[in-house]
Amino acid sequence: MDSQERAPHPYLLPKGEKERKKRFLFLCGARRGQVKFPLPWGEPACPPRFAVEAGRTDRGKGEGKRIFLGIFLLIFLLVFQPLPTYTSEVLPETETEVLVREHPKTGKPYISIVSVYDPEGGNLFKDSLKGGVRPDYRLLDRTTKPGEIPYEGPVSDRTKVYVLAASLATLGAVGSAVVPVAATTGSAAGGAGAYAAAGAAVSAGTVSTAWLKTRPDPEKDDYVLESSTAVVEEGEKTK
Amino acid sequence: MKHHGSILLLSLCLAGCATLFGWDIHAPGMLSSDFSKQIQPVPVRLALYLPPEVSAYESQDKGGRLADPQTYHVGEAFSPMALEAFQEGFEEFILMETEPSAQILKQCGIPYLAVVAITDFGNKVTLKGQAIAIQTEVVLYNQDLYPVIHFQASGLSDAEKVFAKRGGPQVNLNAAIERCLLAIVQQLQDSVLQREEKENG
Repeated sequence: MDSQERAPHPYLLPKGEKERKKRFLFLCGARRGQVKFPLPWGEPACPPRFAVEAGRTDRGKGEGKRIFLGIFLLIFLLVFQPLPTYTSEVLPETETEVLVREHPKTGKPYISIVSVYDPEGGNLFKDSLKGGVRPDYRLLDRTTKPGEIPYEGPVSDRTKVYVLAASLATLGAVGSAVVPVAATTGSAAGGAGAYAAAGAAVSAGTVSTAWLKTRPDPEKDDYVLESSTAVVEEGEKTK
Repeated sequence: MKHHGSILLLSLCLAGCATLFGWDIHAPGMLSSDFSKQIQPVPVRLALYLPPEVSAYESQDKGGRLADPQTYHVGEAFSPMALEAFQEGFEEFILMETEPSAQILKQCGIPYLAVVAITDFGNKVTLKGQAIAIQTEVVLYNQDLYPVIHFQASGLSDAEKVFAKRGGPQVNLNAAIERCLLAIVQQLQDSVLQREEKENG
């Protein structure tokens, strides 16, 4: 043997000695490749990493990490539920579900109860045009001139053949233009007389319970709006 | 030339003039700003069911023998306006898009269900103007689907020089629908509140 005997490999040390080295390295906080030399027992015959491996087991460290990550992931999924969920609440007993829709004109949300098998089947507004402008009933006033009150809603899209009839008339095709008029003669005078008693339309034997005839501004407006109700049957039937 | 023109005009008249000319009335389908001033929401949960035929309701009542052909798309405007009216009238409003049943009402905790149907549409066109009336039938059910109240509601709009203004007949139709819905919501609110008072009192 040489005079300068190399220190034996830690793994080759007696068990007691090996265990002491592990504890020493652990207490020193030795990390892979960061062992400082010289060690008390001298320079090992093996690279430093073996010395570090002697004091610590990576396998155990990795398993602990994986367990921790698994628990963290489980808690995260349970609490935050990042997986896609249904936007409605399904009521299994009645085979219906609750949805929140928006009014097609106003955008105001409302609750709908729909069938699970055909959620869009009963949607009254799936083909409706979105948006709109609230009407101004001052347009109905007799004294309002055309164009005075702006109107941005739908208008009749049918063209009239008045122009055609007039053009034919000018060509001499007809003696006098047959122009359909939007009026009748000899009918009841305009105003409330046409439907003076909306209650008359109610089946006999009923009593009108509410009648509301309004003229929004009696001194100014010249059109009539009426509302009425007539109770047909009242009372709750019991089983 | 004269004969050709006469034959052409006669053929046009015989071909069904309603398809060549006339008024196709689509109302705006929104309530006016006055509605919210006349109705205050009540703290009641109520569901509304509109039968499928309500949205499809149309009328071709000309309102007079010599009047232009007219087609009124009543249901197209009535449905969104009814929805808006009930949203304004009841704080917890629910729309039933499926056939209602007592089980659904109980499961969702809905104490009342209103069913609205359009029964009649009237149109009267005169030299002065036009009057439109809409009549509906409304039944309010309790949670067991037994009727609490059954009533008819109507709305009327009568104005002059309607056809002379752009949007006149459309706004007139809208006004009649709105008046009808005003009557419906007010009657339902009264009935529900009376019942609530009876139960609590």
